[in-house]
Amino acid sequence: MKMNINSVRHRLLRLFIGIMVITGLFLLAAYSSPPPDFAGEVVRHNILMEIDASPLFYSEVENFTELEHGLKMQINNYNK
Amino acid sequence: MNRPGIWSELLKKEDWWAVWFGFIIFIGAIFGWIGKIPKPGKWSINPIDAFNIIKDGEVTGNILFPLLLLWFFLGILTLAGVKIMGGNAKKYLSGYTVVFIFAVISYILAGQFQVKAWGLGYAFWSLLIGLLISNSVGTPSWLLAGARSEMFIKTGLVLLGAEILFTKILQLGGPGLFVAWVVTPTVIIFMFLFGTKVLKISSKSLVIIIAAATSVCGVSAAIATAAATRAKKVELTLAVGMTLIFTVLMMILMPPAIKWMGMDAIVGGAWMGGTIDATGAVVAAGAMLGAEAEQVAAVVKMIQNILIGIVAFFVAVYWTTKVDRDPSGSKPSAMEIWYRFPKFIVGFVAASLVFSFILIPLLGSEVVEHDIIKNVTKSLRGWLFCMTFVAIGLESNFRDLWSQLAGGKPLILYIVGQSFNLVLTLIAAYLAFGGILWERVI
Repeated sequence: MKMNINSVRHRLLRLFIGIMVITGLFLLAAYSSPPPDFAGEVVRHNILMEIDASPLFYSEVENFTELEHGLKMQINNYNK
Repeated sequence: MNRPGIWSELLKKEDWWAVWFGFIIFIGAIFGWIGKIPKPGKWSINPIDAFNIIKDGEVTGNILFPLLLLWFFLGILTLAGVKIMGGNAKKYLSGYTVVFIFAVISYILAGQFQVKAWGLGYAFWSLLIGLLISNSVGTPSWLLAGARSEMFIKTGLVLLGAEILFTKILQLGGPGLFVAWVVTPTVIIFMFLFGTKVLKISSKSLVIIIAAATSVCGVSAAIATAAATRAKKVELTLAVGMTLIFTVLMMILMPPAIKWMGMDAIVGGAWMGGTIDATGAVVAAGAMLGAEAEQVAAVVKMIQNILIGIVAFFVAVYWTTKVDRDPSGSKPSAMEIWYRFPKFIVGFVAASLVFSFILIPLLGSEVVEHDIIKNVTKSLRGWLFCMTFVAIGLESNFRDLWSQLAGGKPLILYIVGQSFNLVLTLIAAYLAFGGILWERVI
């Protein structure tokens, strides 16, 4: 019985530590300043321009249609 | 060998259920029976804001009831299949509900304004949440019953088929196709040979998942090839974890490196489009070089994204005919190959062909891409992938993950493969967009 209680305590402790790690990671990503110089350049630009860098697939990019139209226009202008 | 009859197979195999679920959703979306699918949105300070519906800067409602409807719809739809396949309905629904709640939490974490800027999407958070539970308190059996990762993944992939639109591949003409479609298969074959022959990684499925993720489009390609090769969950977890980390690193490092080298922005954009794994990171990195480079990077990546259908199909054929085949046995018959072939790939390819060559000419690209794909199938596919990653995390443990690392070989494979990809794509980008093989298009 004592063993079981210890095991439960151990598991709950691991859960607590895990939650703290994920929370810490989230807070770091969400609220800390991006790294200085070139290491934080892209992230700072993303924050400033409100660019979502998380989409996995092209269809998840919010403004993808505009990007496609923009490219079409650039190609047309270049050919003229 | 005793095998179920054709009709029984259509009802008893998860592969076929993925096709049925996918096509039920397609029919609902095409006829307008399924409305816009809700998803927690962007927020900055207060996570409750993720549930608000905002129109023209004003809060007009919230998505709590639509989310409840979504939980009900997906639950009932998948329950039908689970029940017919012999699953326990009560256990499935309890587990499914918790997996759905974890998926909602993942979307909320991924929706924070600055987290989005870092490129840490739902795949990252859902995998972490699943891993947290399985490696701390352990995943109870009732929760595992609802964590039907195979069913979610395959249904998600059938839905992804709708987003593979072949009508889009010529947007950048020959140069775009050259960078996206010539380098990619070369890198896959190189990585497969390097992983199996040089590094001698025993799991061929792990090698092909890492190869596809590196050369095609990261997480989505990893999911597709893992399902096509019936890979272990822990192998997918490892490949996805590596891909997510290296995607962020490449997004951060490539634009300053291109500027430092004084490279032409269009060539740089094409280079990043062909090498950075996820499209969001490609767009973000491309934007650092200017609007034109951003557009080229995004479209090159999109053309590469479309290759995922072809890669998944050929990997499935290769696995069925070569890898899974008994080496001492005779050549498998056409029936044997069909029996072993992952059937959801048929649904995946069929969806892509129907959307590309029937629905777009019939209904117009605006209706298909906006009303059907953007509002319904893409969002439902996102939910299914998110639940897949929660489920995979719930089924993986760190001990197995560690054993898969096998002395760092998968990491070496990724680094060598990605380096080869970077060199080859750079040469291709120069040849295609530098005015050498083609006249400059932009």
